[in-house]
Amino acid sequence: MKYFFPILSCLLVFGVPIASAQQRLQLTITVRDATTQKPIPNVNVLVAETNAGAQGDSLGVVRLSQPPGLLTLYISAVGYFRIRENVTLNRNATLSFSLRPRSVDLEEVDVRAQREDRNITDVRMGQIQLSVPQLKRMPVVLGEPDILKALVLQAGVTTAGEGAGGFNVRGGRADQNLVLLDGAPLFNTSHLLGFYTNVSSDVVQDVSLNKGAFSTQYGGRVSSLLLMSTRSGGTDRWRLSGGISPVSGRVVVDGPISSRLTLLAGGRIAFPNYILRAFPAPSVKNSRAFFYDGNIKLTFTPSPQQTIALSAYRSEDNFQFPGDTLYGWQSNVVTGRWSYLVRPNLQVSLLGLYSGYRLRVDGVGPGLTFRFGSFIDQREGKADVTYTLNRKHKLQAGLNAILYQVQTGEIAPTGDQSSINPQRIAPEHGREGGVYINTEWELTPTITLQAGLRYSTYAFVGPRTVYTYAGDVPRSPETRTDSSRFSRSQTIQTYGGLEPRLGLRVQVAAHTALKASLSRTRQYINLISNTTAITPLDFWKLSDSYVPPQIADQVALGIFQNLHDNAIELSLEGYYKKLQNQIEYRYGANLILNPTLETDLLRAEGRAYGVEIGISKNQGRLTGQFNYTYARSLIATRTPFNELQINGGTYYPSYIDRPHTLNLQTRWQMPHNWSFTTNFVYYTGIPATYPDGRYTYNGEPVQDYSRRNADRVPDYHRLDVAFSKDTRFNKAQRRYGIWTLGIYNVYARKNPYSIYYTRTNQRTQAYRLSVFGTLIPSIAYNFYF
Amino acid sequence: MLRSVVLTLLLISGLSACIDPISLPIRNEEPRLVVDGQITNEAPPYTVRLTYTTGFTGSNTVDTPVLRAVVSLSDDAGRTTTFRDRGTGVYETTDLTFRGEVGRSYSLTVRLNDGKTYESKPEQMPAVPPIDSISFEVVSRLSNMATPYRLAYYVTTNDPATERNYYRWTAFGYTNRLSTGVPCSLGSPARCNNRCWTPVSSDQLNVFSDDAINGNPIRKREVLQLPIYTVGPQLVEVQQYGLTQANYQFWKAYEEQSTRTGSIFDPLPAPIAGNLVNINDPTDLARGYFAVTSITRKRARAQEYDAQQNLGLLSFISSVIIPEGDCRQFFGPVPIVEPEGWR
Repeated sequence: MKYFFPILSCLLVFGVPIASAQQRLQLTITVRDATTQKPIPNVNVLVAETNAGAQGDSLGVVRLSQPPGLLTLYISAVGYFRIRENVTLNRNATLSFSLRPRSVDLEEVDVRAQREDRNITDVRMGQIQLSVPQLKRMPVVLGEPDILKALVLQAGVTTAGEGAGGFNVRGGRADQNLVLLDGAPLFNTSHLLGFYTNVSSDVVQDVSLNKGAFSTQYGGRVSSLLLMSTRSGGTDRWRLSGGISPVSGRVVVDGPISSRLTLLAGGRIAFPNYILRAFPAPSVKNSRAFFYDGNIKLTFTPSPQQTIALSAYRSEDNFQFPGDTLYGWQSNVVTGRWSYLVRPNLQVSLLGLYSGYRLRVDGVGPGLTFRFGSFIDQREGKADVTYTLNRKHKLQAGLNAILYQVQTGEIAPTGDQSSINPQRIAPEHGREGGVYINTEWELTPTITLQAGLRYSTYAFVGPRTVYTYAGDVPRSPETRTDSSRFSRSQTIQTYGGLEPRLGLRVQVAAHTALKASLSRTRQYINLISNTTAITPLDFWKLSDSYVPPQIADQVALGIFQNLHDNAIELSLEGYYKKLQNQIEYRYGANLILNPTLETDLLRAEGRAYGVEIGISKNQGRLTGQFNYTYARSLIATRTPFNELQINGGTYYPSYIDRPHTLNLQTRWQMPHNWSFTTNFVYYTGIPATYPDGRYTYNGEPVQDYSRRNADRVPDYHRLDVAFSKDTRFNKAQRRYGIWTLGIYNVYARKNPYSIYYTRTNQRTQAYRLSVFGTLIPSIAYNFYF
Repeated sequence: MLRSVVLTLLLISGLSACIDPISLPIRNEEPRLVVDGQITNEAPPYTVRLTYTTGFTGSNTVDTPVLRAVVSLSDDAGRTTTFRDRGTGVYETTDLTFRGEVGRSYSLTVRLNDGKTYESKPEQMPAVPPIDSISFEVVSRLSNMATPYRLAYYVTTNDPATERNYYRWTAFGYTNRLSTGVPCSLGSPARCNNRCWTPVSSDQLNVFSDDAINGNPIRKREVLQLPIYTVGPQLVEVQQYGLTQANYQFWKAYEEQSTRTGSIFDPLPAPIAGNLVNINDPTDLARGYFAVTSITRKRARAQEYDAQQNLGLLSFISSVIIPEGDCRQFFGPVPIVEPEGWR
């Protein structure tokens, strides 16, 4: 779906015909991208001799009528190097030229895929676009460029801690982000227990995160939409690029198989074990970790109107503690997309996908060897139609259908001596469907409206046995009163409803816009996790009779101002979000392999609100951005049984409540292709539960924790720096490398990942765990051939 | 199984993650009642210890005992017995005919002198299968200089398939320590008081649920390690408890609290909810637990472990310094003749 917008924006613009003159010759110029061979919309052509100018149309075609003779043409387009061409015009002529994009090459200008004043002209708010080339120059842990690490430097995006998997958007939980890779959802985004993102930045073309009201085209998660699309293979020649960092090696090859078929294949493989072996402590030395991921994309263009893209992705992780449990997790994604431009203003697109996530735990222990597993599979079909009535009014409609299959837990003995009995929690089955319509309408030059309505419906279906419980006491396995058996495909429970979304932009001055948005989203799957951060042991669960779908309502308001010819962007956004049907856990909940999981879950409601202030400077040798966020995320349990309420049923800070967050990134372009980047981050520590009493039981001191999240981990702050050197002598150089030398956590602050209390020798002590207790230098090399 | 995660997080960083003790501001809450006691299928008296929670200080403070409470225990046959206040928060049953029986339900009531009354939900005393056998083997922990060799004791039990079983084990035993002793009588060449029987108890919480293995044998569950100082018999008694499900969950929460590592796998901290509730306020939960549990015991005498086979053990035994004099001078007031009941 990501491709829609550029294509559509092309369609919206119509070439301005240049006044024709008599006794002139027609010159028709087609301008293409030198890399992709795609037409470049909106090119500018200037004829030096006559001082005539013309703008191209969306298909890269420029028409000029010029007197015969020798002409000097200057051809330029945003994001491309300008070229000069001499032509001799003696009859009507059709010529073609290609422009080299700056994006692959360039450092001095960060090429922005969108218009420079997009934040003023676009109706959408709460949007974050990531520049992939820039990602490679940022200081990161052990030199591994990372998408999510870059996202959490943006306003409104946080993470549970260094090395924790997942991310949180505007006070939403990590399972509330719709992460789409080429349109297919990813159920896990972590490598190495959460240290890295499991999609390699080398294969990604663009990354955009929507923190608020996203298009009704998308549904199924309540907090945010993260779109990642992989690059298509180049059509002109084969290329090899790659990189090496202390933890991994990466390689991407792409190019044309035939004139209509291109391939991109990329892979990354990690080798952290040599670092582990260097440790003296046997517990570390003998741990083993491994991961890899790979992407393949085939793009077939049978005609200029049609594109068929097939992409596949796989990632796998293994992690083993010495002589102990082995954790393995794996994602597999396959997507097929067919898009057809029926008419210049009508596009149809069909998408079919499979996305699966699997967890495996191999346990060892005398007589207790086992294999534990859980999985989620999603199969989805989707159809979208985009119709552009005119350049001011665009309509989009479509529908989708999803089949879910979820195994929340299954255990089987391994080896001959194991006493473990096989146990399998009945798999869950669900169906989700959605239809939507969306319109983006420029009512007047200063007012744009985006309005959409989505209707989603969900059914939890058999085969399954569903228990009923006595209503007047808390649910427990002992208070089951009845059980009903549902056969295959029989509907057990349905949910559904409307999801209206609305966006409004009012441009109050040339460089100032006010925006507002409203949205409702519904989510029918939940990640079950009783830990602060995402762990591989978490599993997905579908909404069922006891777990209604999550619903979020968000309202946001923003003011956007650009200064100095869009060189400086200012933004101020505020939001309020209400979350229904959140899952909380009873004290001492047992989640793994629990056939009556509903007895350990509590229903809760949440609210989140905040203000995000951003300043960015996009031009000049020194660029950068600063953002500050004040945000709260609160939650309260809602159960009729007082004894189950957490903190008495009042609102308390959720695990992702970080009131103050500040990020500052700068990038200084130095002579000789050196650049210097810095990141500074500061945020309030996450809430924690500290002991507030002690007593003796069984002859040992015991801490009492009577109030959840009433305390806070100390504040976090960190500075990173990186130098990078581009080895090119000139821009045209095809083969080159980029070296990046970085230092993470320059002033070696021992930032707390967590605070925990433990008793040893009759004494209880608080400990601070810092994942990175010191500064971490790194070196990385990326090459392009 | 997740203990090593901290170290692992550290190693991923490639450099040093670190764990430092820190001190943090302390937030204190109102004192709560703490109950520590049990009724078993063994002979009375049964005791209950009542205290209040105190402010969290990190180090040990003296417990605040609950004085002048009225404590009673009733069963599902309509019998009730009262507890005698022995002072310092300890209460004890007086009726020696009130004895716990497997299959019967028991409920404890505590009335404090401020009028608040707490009651436990009746719990049925579960049965416990007998211990099938106790086995042992020499294990070495060379990193521990003082006791590099121990005899590890294991129980094997056949878990009944017909019911849910929750187990807890405790164990104690005697190991031998030698001194040169003293002459048995004036001028006698024979030496006496040269062999001390030093008692050792298990200090690790050891609970297990048959959830995953129902009906299968529980093989070689380690229950105790006794250090080896010399050649000689060791004596061991293992208690195997049958727990209720709620009591098992309580112990799991208790265990979880002492094994926190601050890693991503740590469950969120939670109060260890006990089973006594204020009858007028369901949100007022006492801490601690009044357990209804059955016990089976088995003893073992480990004589025949072959030190000759283990050169390391042999050389350790020969390197142990044997002090001059009565062994109790060095090893405390412990028995100097073999305790009764193991032969």
